[in-house]
Amino acid sequence: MDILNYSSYQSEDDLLKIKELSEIAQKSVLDKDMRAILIKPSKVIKNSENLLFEDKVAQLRSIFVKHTFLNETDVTTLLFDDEENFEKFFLKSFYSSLKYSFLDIPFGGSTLGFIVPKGLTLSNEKVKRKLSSLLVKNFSDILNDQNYLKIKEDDFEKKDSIIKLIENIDKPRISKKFKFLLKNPLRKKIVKEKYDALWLKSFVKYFYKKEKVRVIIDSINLRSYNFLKEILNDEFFVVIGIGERDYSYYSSKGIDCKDITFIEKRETNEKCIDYVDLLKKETDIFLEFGGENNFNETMAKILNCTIYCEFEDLSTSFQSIKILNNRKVLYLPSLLLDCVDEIFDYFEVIERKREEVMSVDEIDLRTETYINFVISYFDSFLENRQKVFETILLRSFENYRKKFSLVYG
Amino acid sequence: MVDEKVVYQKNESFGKIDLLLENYNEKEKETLLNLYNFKEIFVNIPLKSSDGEIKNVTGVKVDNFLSYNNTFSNLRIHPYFDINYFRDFAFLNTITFSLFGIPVNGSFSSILMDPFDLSTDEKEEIFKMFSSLLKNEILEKDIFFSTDINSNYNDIKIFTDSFHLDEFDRKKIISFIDYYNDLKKDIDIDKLNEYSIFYSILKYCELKKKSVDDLSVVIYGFGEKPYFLSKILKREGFNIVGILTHLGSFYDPYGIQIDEFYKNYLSNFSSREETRYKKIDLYTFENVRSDISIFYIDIFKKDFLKNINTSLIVEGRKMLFGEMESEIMKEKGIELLPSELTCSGEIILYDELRKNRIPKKIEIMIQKEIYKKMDEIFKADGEDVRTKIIKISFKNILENLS
Repeated sequence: MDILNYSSYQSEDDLLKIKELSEIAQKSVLDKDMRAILIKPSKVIKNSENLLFEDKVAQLRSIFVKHTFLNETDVTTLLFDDEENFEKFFLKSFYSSLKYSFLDIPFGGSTLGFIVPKGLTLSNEKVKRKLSSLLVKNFSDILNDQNYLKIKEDDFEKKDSIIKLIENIDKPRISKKFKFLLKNPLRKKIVKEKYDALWLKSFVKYFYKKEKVRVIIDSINLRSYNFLKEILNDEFFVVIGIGERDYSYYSSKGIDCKDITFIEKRETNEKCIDYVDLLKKETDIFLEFGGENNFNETMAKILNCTIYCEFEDLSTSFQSIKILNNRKVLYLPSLLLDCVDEIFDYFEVIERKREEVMSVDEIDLRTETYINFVISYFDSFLENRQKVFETILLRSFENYRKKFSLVYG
Repeated sequence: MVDEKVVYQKNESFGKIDLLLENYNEKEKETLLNLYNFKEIFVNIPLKSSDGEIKNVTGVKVDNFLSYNNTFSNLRIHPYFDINYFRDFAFLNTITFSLFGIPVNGSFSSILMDPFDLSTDEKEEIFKMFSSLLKNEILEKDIFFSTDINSNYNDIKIFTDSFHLDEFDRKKIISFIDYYNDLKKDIDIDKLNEYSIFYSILKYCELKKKSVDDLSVVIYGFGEKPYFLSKILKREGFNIVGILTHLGSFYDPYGIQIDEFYKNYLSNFSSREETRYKKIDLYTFENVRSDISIFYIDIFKKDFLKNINTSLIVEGRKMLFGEMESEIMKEKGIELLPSELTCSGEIILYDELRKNRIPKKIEIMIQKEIYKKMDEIFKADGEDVRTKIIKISFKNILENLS
């Protein structure tokens, strides 16, 4: 068994995604050699820490996946999981590499996942100690040279635990470096959702010339909830529904501030409807935020929307995309829509290099430049509306081809 | 939540450790559990072959992670991937170091490719990539890539030469190789383990009060190392009665003339010579009576051991006999001198170099250490040598880490 080969990918769906990407890569400008490098991780590091917990031996693990050595600077996303999912970690780093490449940002993606088995809590002292030791073990791998670290956790509790963990590392040099990288001055100052909304609005407008659009949001999690609050006062978006398997809310006139309180507490009222019914409601755009239930084929068959917006990486299966395509629903992939985070990574690095905090005006201006850049790219290269995903991939791969030829001639 | 037995998916060799752990208190258990911590690094090395095509070669480094400052790694080129084998190997290195009370993490590195598929240029290219991808790990700790059975000294030299580091880092990493370069003038450094095998056997005979002159030896394996060992055994008076080679098995109850045998073997034996050395079939060879059997190859494993007619089995290289084979040996009343003891020559020298000491007479140093350790092992409690070794190693780990 070679863990870096397709044969060891355990989840069929993820395997399919890799194969599909590989196929697109095959049709694209990538030659065989480049594919050999790009569709595989350059480096994987696994660490383990054992501890005795309630008379049994428990094991905490970490996996670090670096997408490709062709990038000099990597941004490492730190996350938690309760089981080892190598494919997921690889795909995450792969996707963020593709996004950086699509936007011409000179970074690569990597992922550092901590695996804490179910039953162990992050507040347990032993667990904390061992996690801290895992962080130290990974220190030299992720923070060498020009690398950066970010925490992408929608769960505030987990995010806080990681920050506390980092603060409590007993090696001052390492702790200091970690803290430096986690300062995040940019993110404290701005509301990221505002830019997510701006980004989404620009591309929806590009493909769908309307003054107002009806929106249904799939999944209720911290991110989708914040996003909902952000676009509530935006006249362009009228959110008519939000929901997931256990709780769905629908208002034909649009959700307002009063509804938000109900949704936050998940209280039932006359606007609550069955999840399947919500999916069947006619809407202009359907926003997928991932969450516990990913978007599957059954959902793709009953959806009644014009544009399907994937707002979270790996939340839509490839079969569902095919179904959407057959039903002439426009698919906007996360590679396009979930990019703001990657752009902000770059802004932060600029800030660090300049040792000066970027003004909101500058952030606005720079974001707008990126939007215009993508639009002008679509103007020139998008053959038809159904090929957004392929067009983005082609550009990402083309950039890698240049890097590749620099190394291999 | 995982159960104790599943934490380390043991291959074969160290199954008994689970049972041994039961004898320790909670605090000691917590410490010893560090032995099951591994740091596993996988790198994909794109290799541009001579025909211009790019192949992906995977490099693996598995560290058995105790919190020591030094790590020792063997480097091999392997045609297949078996993570449990790599873990066992790293673990075995840790146990060997611990047996001698040396605080060093055991490790194992491998490049997954058929060594016969590689040209020297390709090897060089792979080593370059492997070392640059592992640069951080190597800089963090002192790591020493030892010579090993299927990666010869030149490979290691290419490997260390491929580090493009500044002078200071370079010095730190390859200082041991520099020592080796110096030592190579005086001693064949590839044969360090042969000295430890040789002195383990000698001391074993002494402890069991056996006269060397009466003892017959069969060597399962052929090549530079077995040749060297045969010569020093012969010098001491042992009677080498059988040798298993790629061309077949050879037997002579009056003793094989080693130099002549090897010389003729290398020119592929004429039929007349084959008769002279009594080439026999494997079935007959199994039943040949010998006092000591030294193994360099592992092709037969347990089935072969069922028929073997010997009193002592010696591991001539690491990772040969696991738990199942040990059971058969126990049933047949055969004793085993395991590689933790017999293949310790390289690590004994490594420890000296680590302490900035260059021994004048390496052979004597190895002899002294092996004799001292064997006295301790034979005094220790335990049913067989391997169990005793593990117990002593655990004791040393607990002392080192406390």
